[in-house]
Amino acid sequence: MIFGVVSCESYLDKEADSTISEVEAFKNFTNFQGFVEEIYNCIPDKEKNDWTASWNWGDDEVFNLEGSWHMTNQVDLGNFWAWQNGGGNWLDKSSTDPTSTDKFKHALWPHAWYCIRKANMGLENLDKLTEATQEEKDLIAGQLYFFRAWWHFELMQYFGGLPYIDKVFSATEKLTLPRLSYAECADKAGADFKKAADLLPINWDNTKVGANTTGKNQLRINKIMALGYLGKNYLWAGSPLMKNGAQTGGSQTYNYDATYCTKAAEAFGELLTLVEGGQTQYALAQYAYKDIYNHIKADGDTVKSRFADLFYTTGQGWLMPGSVEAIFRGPSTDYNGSNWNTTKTFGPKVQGLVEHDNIIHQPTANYVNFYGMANGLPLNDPQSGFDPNYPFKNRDPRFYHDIVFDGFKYVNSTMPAEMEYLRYCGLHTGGTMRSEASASKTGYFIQKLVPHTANKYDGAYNWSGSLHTYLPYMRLGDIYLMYAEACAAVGGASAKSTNFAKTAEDAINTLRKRVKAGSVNAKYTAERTKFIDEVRRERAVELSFEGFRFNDLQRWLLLTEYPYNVKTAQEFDRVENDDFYKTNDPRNARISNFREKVIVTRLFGTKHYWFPLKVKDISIYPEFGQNPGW
Amino acid sequence: MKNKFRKIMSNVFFSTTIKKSSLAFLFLLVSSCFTISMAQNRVFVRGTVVSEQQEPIIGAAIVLKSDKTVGSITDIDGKFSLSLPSANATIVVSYLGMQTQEIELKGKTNIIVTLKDSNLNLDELVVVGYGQQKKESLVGAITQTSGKVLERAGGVSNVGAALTGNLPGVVTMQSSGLPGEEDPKIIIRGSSSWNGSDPLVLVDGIERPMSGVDISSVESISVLKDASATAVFGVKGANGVILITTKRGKEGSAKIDVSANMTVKVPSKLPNKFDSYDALMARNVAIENELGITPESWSYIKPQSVIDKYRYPSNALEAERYPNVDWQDVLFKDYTTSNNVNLNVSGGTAFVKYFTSADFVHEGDILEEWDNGRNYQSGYGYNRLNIRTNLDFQISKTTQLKVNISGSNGIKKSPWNQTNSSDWAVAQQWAGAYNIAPDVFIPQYADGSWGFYPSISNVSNSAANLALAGVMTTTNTRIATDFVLQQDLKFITKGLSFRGSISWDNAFVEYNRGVNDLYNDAQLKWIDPETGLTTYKKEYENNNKFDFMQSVLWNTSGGEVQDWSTQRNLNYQLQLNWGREFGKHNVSAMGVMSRQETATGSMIPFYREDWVFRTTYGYANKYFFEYNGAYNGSERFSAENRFAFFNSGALGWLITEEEFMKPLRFIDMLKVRASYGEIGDDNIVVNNVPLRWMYMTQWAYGGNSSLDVSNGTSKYTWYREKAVGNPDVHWETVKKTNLGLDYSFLGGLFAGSVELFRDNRRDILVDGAARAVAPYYGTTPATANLGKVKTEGYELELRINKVLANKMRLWGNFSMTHAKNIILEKDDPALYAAYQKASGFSIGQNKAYVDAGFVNNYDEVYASTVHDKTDLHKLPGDYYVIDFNADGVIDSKDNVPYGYSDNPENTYNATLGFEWKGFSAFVQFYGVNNVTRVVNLTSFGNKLNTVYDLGTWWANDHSNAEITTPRWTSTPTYNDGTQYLFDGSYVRLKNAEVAYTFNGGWVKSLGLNNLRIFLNGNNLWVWSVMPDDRESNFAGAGGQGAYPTMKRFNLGLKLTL
Repeated sequence: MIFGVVSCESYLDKEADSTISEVEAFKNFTNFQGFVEEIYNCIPDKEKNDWTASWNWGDDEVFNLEGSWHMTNQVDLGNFWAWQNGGGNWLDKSSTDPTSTDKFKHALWPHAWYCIRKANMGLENLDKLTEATQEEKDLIAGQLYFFRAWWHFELMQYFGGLPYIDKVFSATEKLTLPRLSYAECADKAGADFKKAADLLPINWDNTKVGANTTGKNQLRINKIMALGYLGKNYLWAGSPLMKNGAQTGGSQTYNYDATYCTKAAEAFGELLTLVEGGQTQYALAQYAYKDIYNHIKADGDTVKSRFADLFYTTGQGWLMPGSVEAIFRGPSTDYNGSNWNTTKTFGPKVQGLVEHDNIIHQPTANYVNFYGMANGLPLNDPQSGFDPNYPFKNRDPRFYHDIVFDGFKYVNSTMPAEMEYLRYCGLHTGGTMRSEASASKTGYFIQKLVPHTANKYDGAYNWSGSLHTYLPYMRLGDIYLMYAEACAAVGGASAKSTNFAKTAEDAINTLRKRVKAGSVNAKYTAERTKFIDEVRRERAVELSFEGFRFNDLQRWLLLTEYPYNVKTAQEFDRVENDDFYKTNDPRNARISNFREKVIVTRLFGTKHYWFPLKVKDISIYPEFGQNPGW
Repeated sequence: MKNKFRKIMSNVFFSTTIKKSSLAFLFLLVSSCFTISMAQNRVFVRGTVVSEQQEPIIGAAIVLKSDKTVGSITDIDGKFSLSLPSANATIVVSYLGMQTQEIELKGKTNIIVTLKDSNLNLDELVVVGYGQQKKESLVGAITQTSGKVLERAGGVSNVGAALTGNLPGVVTMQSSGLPGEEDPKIIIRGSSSWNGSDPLVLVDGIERPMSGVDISSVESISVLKDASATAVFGVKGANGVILITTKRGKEGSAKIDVSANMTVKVPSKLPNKFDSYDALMARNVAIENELGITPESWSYIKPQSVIDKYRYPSNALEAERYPNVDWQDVLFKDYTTSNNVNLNVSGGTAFVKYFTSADFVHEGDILEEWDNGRNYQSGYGYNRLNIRTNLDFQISKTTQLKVNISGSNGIKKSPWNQTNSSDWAVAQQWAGAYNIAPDVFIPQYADGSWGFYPSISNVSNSAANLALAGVMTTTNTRIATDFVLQQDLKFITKGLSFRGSISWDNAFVEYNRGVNDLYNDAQLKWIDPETGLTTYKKEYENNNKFDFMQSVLWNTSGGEVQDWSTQRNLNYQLQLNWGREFGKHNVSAMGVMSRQETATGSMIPFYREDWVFRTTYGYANKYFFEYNGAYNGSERFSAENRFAFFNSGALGWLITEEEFMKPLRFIDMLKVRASYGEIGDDNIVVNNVPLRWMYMTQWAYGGNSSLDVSNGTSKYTWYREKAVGNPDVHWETVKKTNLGLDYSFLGGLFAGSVELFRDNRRDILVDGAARAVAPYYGTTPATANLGKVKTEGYELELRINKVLANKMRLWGNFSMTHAKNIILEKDDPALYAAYQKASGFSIGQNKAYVDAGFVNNYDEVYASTVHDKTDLHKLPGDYYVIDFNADGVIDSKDNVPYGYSDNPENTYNATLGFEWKGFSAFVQFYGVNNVTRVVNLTSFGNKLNTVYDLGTWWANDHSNAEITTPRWTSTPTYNDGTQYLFDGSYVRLKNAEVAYTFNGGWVKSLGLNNLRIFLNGNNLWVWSVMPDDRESNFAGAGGQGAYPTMKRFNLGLKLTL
């Protein structure tokens, strides 16, 4: 009887109404843009991807002892494997999720491949976008080309040449693509960035469909971003490491590839012409302060922006940092996330002055010494006027903005009497803030990215401070620096692109002018290599602690070379008594015995120019092999 | 009084059922008329029914074998009378818990029937898939135990936990003692797939959680292990099947059982940590040891004078400044209690039989109660009420309707919104026991503020975490309903019958009922031992800068239903049975069609459809043959691969029935069995979510990027490819072979069985994330059938039963199970060396950097193999890590298989007991070996002074140490060696009991039939090298720890009215 009942096969079919069809995703702009925008969500937050994060792996930073597990310290030890599955860095995580709004769930390695697949899937389905105007089609295609190249580029920075993926693989396909050379990858990425630049508008607000989200388009990919990365991609491809291969000795550090650098200069030139012609929404943020230690901007209607707003905002309704200068940023979804615990990882932990995790980003003394004099000369120039008895006097204005030095008034608000001794930083040898465990071992703190008021008593990191930090991936200042480098690589200080009026030297001076520092001195402009040195020093200062230094040392073939392989602490004795600092500007303090002490020496070989790939990934087939030496 | 009560009870059941259905009443009338009409030419038989102890049995049922409508029930003296159609009739005497007896009267009119306790022979009938079989004709590998056996697990309220050791082939693993979450992980005969090894659990034939059943309602538990036994369950049966059958009423007057248990629980073994003094001394040693490579560690050296303060503070102030906290002592009470009360009533008439029970369990909390100044008490706890009614209606002579209604209401108490015990945040409630340093702060200072550690945000104060956590209840309500109609179809052909059933199960979860005290900070403080200065977490109120005041700001919440946990299951089955005897030939056939629809929350329901059949053939009770088939469908596969046919067969030979065996009188019984067959499986669970529609590429819609710099989200909603489908994906199949031997010698003195088994599983689904696919594929690859596993093993069982001349019965059960699996294929990266692959090793094989002793001096340090990471941090006293692949460098390629997997290969059980008059006693030992458990107890983690007592440290003058000296600042690599991989073997005194049963005069005079008082215990002693008493890490990683597992001491009584 029961066997007479025919099993209806459809009983086990998935109900058609319960299935989201992929056709839906591509049929109109609204849906297709929704398909694309998941990619934005995947862009890792370099600064806030963990309770305590690490992103400066060059000669720029050290952590205190409790941060020894962090990438910063592990790179010092030559353990470049530490990027894998680690907590605390944006390259990789053991658990990621493209859809998560949790900033801890995004990392470069897994998300890059996911987003590249997604970009390819979008590009392969462009023909399904039928209910759309040409403008809408261009916006979609432009974003997809951009992202395909961008994710590849970010990977290439660390791993070198990889397969360049430009199709969607099927479920059953056998994957055996070989790794390409860096140049081959860069050519493909360049082609994609170029397409994106051609398809995308300068400002979405000025397009018909972009007007639907007007005022909220700052993070959406535009022509300026595409040009910026087009140039960056070529400059990297033309850099000494990529041209000459990994090697030690430093002899090739000025040996750039002229063709790529020319291409880079043209891209940057086009960008800068648009910016300086007032055709874009971008400008250099203003550097006009009436109280530089507290980052309080100058009065007056002409002061419309603040340099510090590039990195953090406070008291602005949790506005995302970036000001008018940030070009490429990912989302910063969890706006109060800065205070768990990024904003608590820059100041002294002595007596709980800055609360929570005992991790402190400290600038190395060798790096701080890149901050030259206000007259534009480097410290070691005989004419610089640098006085080791007054080492904090007449420095580049950015020094006072970025660096906390001896005698600096760290706490503005009232605090208990027994804590008063910590109000002015004792950063001299044996000072109150020189504990290896809970303060600075180098003699400095950083306040560029997080203001010093992020402490227990000033309470900038409390809810009421609405302190929001974010590190932009690319900003206009960087474009000037990269333009200058690309031009200088080809023709020195006076070189320029065909499409922009300024020379390399002018570009550097544009940044110097902004901060009211002296121009590049003539003795550094005559010789190409000397000028390149000055470009590099400017890059170190302007982009300090923003996560670029490691890649720069890599591509300049300097990572392995002295003095870029040591980290130092600044040792000196106070001459003034403690009361001096209560009434005087600490920069005017006299000190004695100013000397550097090496605290870290990095023993690197050629293998350290590229990161090691994951062992599982390189064990699948021989053509996807490991970077040399690992 | 007792009689009256019984009468009322039976009237209640009788009258309600009649009211319920006038139709039923009509049937009753007809059948009783029938009885009366037959009552002519009668023989009158009288008798007494007694137990082996010669106690009269009240309420035993006596029916005529040839016509079950003729029957009677014994009275208070165990007497009955019955008028029968013939003096040569056969009567059947039965009583719950006793072995049913058939008696041929042969003319006798006054008889005494002695019923034997059925626990000795309960396995006469064995519950098998979709039916029952006689033990002697069984050919599959099935073991069965009774509710009675489970009841002796002292004070354990969880069926799963009570199974331990009682069923050969079943391995249980306990990971936590959290009230209400003590369900162990159960594996039958080892795992043969990485896609989960959970057996299928059926309660009264329907897939249901074991935790919804109370032990007192269990009649029997049968475990089906080989292909022929599990084949009829098709899919899902591949990991074995556990069939739980609940008790049913038997004809007779109401029998009332009451039992009560009072249990005292104390924590079992916990890790040993140093106190502050010892830890700080050890820290100086560790720092001294590494100064050569990290001189800056010197800043952490503590002077002896300071360290002394921790042990000998001179006043209360110093005791707060230099804390020395025994966290285990602070966090846990000395003991806690649990109790259980059960009442059940059963009985019935020819028309309706009933079993009804109510069972209440309370599990107390071992965590200390704190005064939080907020007028509520946080903590854990579990209360469960289970109610069950099983009714059997004899609607007509050929029609039976069974109705089962059961409900379970489990109320878990926990801190607010902290329900998943393996979550890190939840584990902080007991983290103190595992990893909080003794010197970091005082749990609660004299001024009422709680301790905290400002330097690291992740150092929990377990006491404060618990005390201020709010409190809530999570209520699991589960209602299960079965309607089963059985119709004898002998009017079509003799031996044919039909069974149809429909079951609805619903489960609801309510949570957030209680006190929500989130974000209402209390004052936390820390006294810096260096300076004596106090740091307050809240020096002042953040916004208005006034002094901080702890306020009582919690609010109560009335609870809400977790819509996403609401479960609704529907199951219906149609079954045809046919069985006939033709002379010596015994033939049967059975076919079932079943469909299942289950859904939780808003999910699209799971659908499943199975067609199965079984035929059996027996000749002369000597040769047995069975053939099963299952035609299974799964929504997970494409239409082409969706349905598959799996079949199995088994042979049995009862050798002792052969003439040539008759002279060997010392052999009571000898049987050999063999089975072979194939079973399908489609289960693959990733992150606790079963993968569905694996053949389809699935898309998802929802979510928005945050693209607005002013904290808004984009208006464009994501479309995304959620999972890549693999059109080729198909059934995972396991070929199971089983050889069995059952024996019994010397009149039952020795009995038992031996089983040999082998599972060959192929086409095992490999989840995309575990496949070797190049990373640039870009998303989780599709699930594919790429795995192969072989599992082999054996089970030995020996039961000894000896009744001495003085009627003392001695008994013992000994069993051992060995099961070992080996992966033959699993999409490993092709370029891995053999030892790096999963294939060739067990599922879950542990790996480690294996050492060859210590590096004893700098010469040996320099001569030791270079480490690819932080080689500069090597020191004398480190492990000499073996360069396994001899490539001149220690790197991840030297992480090699070491030890065993987390699942034991061998389990042993020994139970010994005796009974004499009213006395009984037994002890049960349970042990496992060939298992490795990872317990990462890292000393000085986070630069805290947590030091575990794991053995002596290496030193210059102490090179035969047990472990390396832990590091303070330096970060050596691979230096854990194998020290956190513990031999997970243990032997434990699992259960012990002494009991006395009264059924003498004074008990009678209280109106009781018998009274049993017992003292028993569970998990009383454990012998193991593991630092804590956990058998597995599933309720929280090894180093994270879990709510302590418990030792239980239980006093109970059980009485029958």
